[in-house]
Amino acid sequence: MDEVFKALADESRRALLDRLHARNGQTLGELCDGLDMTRQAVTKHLGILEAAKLVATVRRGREKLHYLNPVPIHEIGVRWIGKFEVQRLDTLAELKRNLEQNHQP
Amino acid sequence: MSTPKLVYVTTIRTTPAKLWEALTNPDFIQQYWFGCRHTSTWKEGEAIESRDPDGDLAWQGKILKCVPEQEVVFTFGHIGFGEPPSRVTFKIDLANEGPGLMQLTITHDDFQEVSPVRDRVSNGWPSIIAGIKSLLETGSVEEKAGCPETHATASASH
Repeated sequence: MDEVFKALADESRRALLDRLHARNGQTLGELCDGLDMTRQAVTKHLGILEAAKLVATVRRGREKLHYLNPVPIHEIGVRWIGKFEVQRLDTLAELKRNLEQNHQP
Repeated sequence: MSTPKLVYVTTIRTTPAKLWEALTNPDFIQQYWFGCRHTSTWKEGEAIESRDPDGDLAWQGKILKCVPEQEVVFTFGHIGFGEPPSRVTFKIDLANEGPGLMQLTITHDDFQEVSPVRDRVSNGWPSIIAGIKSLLETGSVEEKAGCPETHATASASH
């Protein structure tokens, strides 16, 4: 679990996970597109995410596609969040989202 | 251009035989699959069907490929959604992390462009795969808050 937290403790790596969450199954080239990071830096970050099992890769012909693997994050969730708290937390998150949206200028 | 797949990976301290048993034996399956039991002969071309705790058909499909202790691929037709069947693959590999560790990869693909089934199962898979890991490593799928880390060997010393 240390590896997962270390991998998540970096803004660039979280940004890469966000991009995969928005669109799963991207190549290295697609992930680099529009990012303010060198290809080498993205490769290194993806390696760390893959070692922590937060990213899974699947070969498609000559391409390597990257997928967000939510299993380690799920494991963090079940470790500290009780089964019956999930719904209340969802409601709370929804409330926060709504209130914050309404307060945007 | 195919629609995005769902891919889930976990490492499990177990053997290929035990992992295979967990994936194919209904008594194991119902412990981590929301109470559902699948029945199949696990032979290529044969049917697979899953029934919920009330005995109602939850989904059904056909075995496309089956190599015991390595890989099984089947179509997945969710009842009540009216979508053409998608495809599920379970793959067992030796994990890179060390001896005695297996890597289980679940891939779910071949979805429609707009697929309520995809949304539905993407909520379920993380719990299923975590349940398989927990069942094999601890003997139960009870996911308790504050349970010890699976691979931690050193006890906390401050």
